[in-house]
Amino acid sequence: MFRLTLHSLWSHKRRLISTCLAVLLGVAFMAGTLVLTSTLNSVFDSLFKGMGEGVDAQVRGPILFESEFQGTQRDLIDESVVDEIEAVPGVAATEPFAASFSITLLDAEGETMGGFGPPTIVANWESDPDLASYTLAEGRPPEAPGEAVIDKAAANDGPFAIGDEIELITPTGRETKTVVGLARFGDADSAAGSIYVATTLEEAQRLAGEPNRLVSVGVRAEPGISSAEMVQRLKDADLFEGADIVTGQEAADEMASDVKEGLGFFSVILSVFAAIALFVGWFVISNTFSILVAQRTRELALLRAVGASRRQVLGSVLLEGWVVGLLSAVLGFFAGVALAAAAMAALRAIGIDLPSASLVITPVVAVVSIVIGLGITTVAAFMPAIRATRVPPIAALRDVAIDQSGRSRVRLVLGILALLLGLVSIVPAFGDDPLTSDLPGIGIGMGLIVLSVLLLAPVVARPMARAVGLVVKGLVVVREKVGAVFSSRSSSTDAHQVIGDLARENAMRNPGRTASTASALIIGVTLIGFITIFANSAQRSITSAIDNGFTGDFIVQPASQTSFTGVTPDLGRELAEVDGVETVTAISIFIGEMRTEDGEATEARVNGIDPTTFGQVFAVRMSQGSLTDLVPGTIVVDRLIAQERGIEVGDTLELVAVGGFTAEFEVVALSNDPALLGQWSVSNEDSERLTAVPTDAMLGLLLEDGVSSAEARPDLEAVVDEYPTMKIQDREEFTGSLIGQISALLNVIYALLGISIVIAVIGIANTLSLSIHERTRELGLLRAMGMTRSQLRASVRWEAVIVALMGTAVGLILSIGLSYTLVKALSSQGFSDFDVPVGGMVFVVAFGAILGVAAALWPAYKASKLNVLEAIAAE
Amino acid sequence: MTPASIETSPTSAQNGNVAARAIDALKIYGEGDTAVTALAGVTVDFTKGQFTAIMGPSGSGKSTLMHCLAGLDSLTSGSVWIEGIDLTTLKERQLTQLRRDRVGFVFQAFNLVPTLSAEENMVLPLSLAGGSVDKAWFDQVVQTVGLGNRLSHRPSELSGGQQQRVAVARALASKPAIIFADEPTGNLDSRSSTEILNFMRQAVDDYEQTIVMVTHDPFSASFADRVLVLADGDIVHEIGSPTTESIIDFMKTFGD
Repeated sequence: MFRLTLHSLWSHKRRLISTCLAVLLGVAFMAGTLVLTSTLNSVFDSLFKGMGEGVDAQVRGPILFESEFQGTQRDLIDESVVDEIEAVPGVAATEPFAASFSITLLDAEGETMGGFGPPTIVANWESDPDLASYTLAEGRPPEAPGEAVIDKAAANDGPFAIGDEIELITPTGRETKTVVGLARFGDADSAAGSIYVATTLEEAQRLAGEPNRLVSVGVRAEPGISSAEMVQRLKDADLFEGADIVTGQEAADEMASDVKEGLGFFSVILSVFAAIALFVGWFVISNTFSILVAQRTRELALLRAVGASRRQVLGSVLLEGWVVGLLSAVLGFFAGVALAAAAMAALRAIGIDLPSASLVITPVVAVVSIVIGLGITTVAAFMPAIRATRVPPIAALRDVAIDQSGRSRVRLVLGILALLLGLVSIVPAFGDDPLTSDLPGIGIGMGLIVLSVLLLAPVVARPMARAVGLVVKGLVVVREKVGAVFSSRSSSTDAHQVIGDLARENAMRNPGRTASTASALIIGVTLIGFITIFANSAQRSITSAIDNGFTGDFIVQPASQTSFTGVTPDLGRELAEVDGVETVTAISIFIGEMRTEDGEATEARVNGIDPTTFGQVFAVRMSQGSLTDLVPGTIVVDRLIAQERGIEVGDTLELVAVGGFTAEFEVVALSNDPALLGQWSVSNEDSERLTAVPTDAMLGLLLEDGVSSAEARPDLEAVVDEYPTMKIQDREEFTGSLIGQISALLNVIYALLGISIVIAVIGIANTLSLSIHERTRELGLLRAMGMTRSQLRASVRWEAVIVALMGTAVGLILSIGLSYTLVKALSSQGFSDFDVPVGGMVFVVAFGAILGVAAALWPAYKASKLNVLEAIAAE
Repeated sequence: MTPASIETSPTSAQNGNVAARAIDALKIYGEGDTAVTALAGVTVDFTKGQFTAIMGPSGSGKSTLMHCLAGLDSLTSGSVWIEGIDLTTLKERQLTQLRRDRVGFVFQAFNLVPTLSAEENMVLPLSLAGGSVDKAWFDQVVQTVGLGNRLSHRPSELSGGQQQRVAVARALASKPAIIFADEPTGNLDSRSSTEILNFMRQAVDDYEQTIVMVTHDPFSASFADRVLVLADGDIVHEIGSPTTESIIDFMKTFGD
């Protein structure tokens, strides 16, 4: 039996190539993600390992709160602690550390550096080589306030040399330093692309706005004292309230794990897309095996007739699946490694300087790839294999093989159940005020609906193919007529009708097969359509939020969307002085932890606003109370979050901000404008009180009556140009920049979904090839009857277009329904508009049809090259 | 035993009375040691309005002769003509058009496209050519074939005999120069066979259709106007006005 299986496999090896390709692509995506993640993990491990070495203990401030996006937030410690630490027996040396992350370095041209991800760190130069993370490569350490050491990568990019002046944009303005030395981070020119500027300790503290305060103190123990012993002694010394003391290794591990957590998120996203690709691949494999089993009905029946047991038949089909799975998994694994290498090269190309170039390929990755490849083919081949065992021996004597896949009653019942359950689950989305807590249920409901469509597809495939076929038939006639105008070939409606009929009938003859082929495309189109409509609705919602909510003329905001650095309040004051400016309102943003009266804590992104001027530039919708109620000591909370947290007007909230500032606020009003105002807003006076160096994140400008934007702009730009981290935008530019961010994200998602679409197209091509193989005789007959090669190609092509359009149409309908559901579910969170981009959707449909044609190219070519004599003699 | 080759009126190609003809048709498959001669220089005419049966043992070249005459296969040398057109000079596309417009086919089985109805199958060559259906002629064919109420049925809903009748009707519908039938009754019971053969006979008698039929069966061949017997790639005998008995008698001596 084993030999027989291998023979059979070999005999239709060409038919399995595309199946292998479908598995291979999915596995490659998955393996690539895993290899890339583990490589980056190891890179960061080695990067941070150096930091822990030599440091026996690290003294840090008390933990304030855990921020989801910015890691553990700690209070700073007073400089005087250094003396106390040095007094602890066994301490050989200490190294204070002060740093700021809100400063931007300008390059030699005066343009901002970094800003696309890795941060800029301005810190004090650590002189103790055992305790420092950077080492001096050239020059000398900074000795005066006007001197700085920068990392070599930044010096190369600047470009800067020792003796050059560098400019820093700080929260208080502009600073100039002279480069006196260049530093390296371990073996690398930079710490994973971050920019490092080191000054004297006092200068670093001043730049951070925290004189006499430190982030941490590194401690080296005298010889003979272990790190653990040193930590214990420091703890016993009772340095200050809440002191957080760990070994250097632990501190380094914590930093590494923070970075890795971020990577983990990235890896989960990639894995989701890889899983989608594999899921699509599953349809392709399952379909291929269904067809192969159907085509081999006679052969299998003969085997059963001569005494093969059901188990042997099952084994033989499954074995084929395993061989295909193993082969594609192994190849996919290597393709994945190549992908990861390409991704690393791409990271380096965009300027992320990563040491230790070699890829980390763990046995786990190899095993996971192979298990996934094998697993998915086994599961996919299982149902066809079961069907193969049901072939009765008598079938050997029957004439025609019938593909019975996809018609089971169980499928129908499950499909309807999933559909009903899904519909019930999404009901809350259409209520008056969908809550955040409803979202998981709605999400599951949406998933169930997709599942039900995939389950029910074979049931509705026949009527659908008929309907789509009729549309296509019209298209055929039009298309061929148009074609006839341009080519000298004489053609008439009749011939094209018969080709259209044939294509449609062929698409209808195996509803299960057609559905399963279309399903692969349904998944891809649904996801693409869903994301497109959702993003478009988000963009439309933003536009209308600005249209309705922004009554001013200009916005000044950070030039780089990924940097969180604010600008000195001087800018706002200077802009207010410009002729023609009526009002400038400043908005600051800071992170903190909000605690309700019953002790519940939430991470909060808090806006600081000026209640009087804010209302002149922005029209905010309020749910209860007024924005003018906002005075120091009070807070305005978004209606929805208030509802979820049980917060009411009159409640008192406690806020702990980054940097350790704490304050209590009375809730005075509830806002209903999450797009404009976010969730928590306090007065500017309070936000200044709660941040070390007050900065403005954004400024809104209103011009005097009669002053046009164009008139005022040159003067305003002249002011803003002095602050290179900021840019001025009029209403259109502001809207455009927000919309542009979503478009950029959309493109990334399209690229990641692309591989699923490629697999779906392979699936269509594969099914067509197999079907054509099955129809050899019939095609031979048609050719003998006088069908020309181009007519035959056209009929195959149109069949593919019908299948592709079916998948596209169902995907479109699904994506419209699902995105509508999600937009409704998020309606209370600022999603005001549902908008289907007609152009985009037309493009998706056209794209689907083009994919159909592309998928049909090879099968159609093969069909037209068919030898008529052999075909009519077949079997 | 090898009787002398039959000379079948080697007239000029302009002879308007000839539907199809082969001149010195030579077909060799393979090369060198493995070369097989399928047609050893056959010269034969098929007169218009005549029903010819081709018989011969397996491997005698009768199917090859038919395929070459129909433009489905090419000759190694020699020429085949249909209505004065030399097929050996035609390109693939022209051959396809010729098959579509001037040649009718009836195969042993799988004659019909399963996804099309009986009527659609009948008009298929016409549809492919983009020509309009001669309604009166089509109705006449349908009436003769006796399928009036089953025209909208799919092939799977028709019996084997009905399917073959549809196939013959299809061949007739485009009024071709010649119909090639490859064992059209090979899969049928004797009653259905007789029906089909009578139908073909009628087409020849009433509409002056030219038919060439390959068969193994002396009873089937007896419906033809003449029987050509092939052996080793050449025509070795011709029986005019055959009867089942005269064919069986010849075959007996031939088999020895």
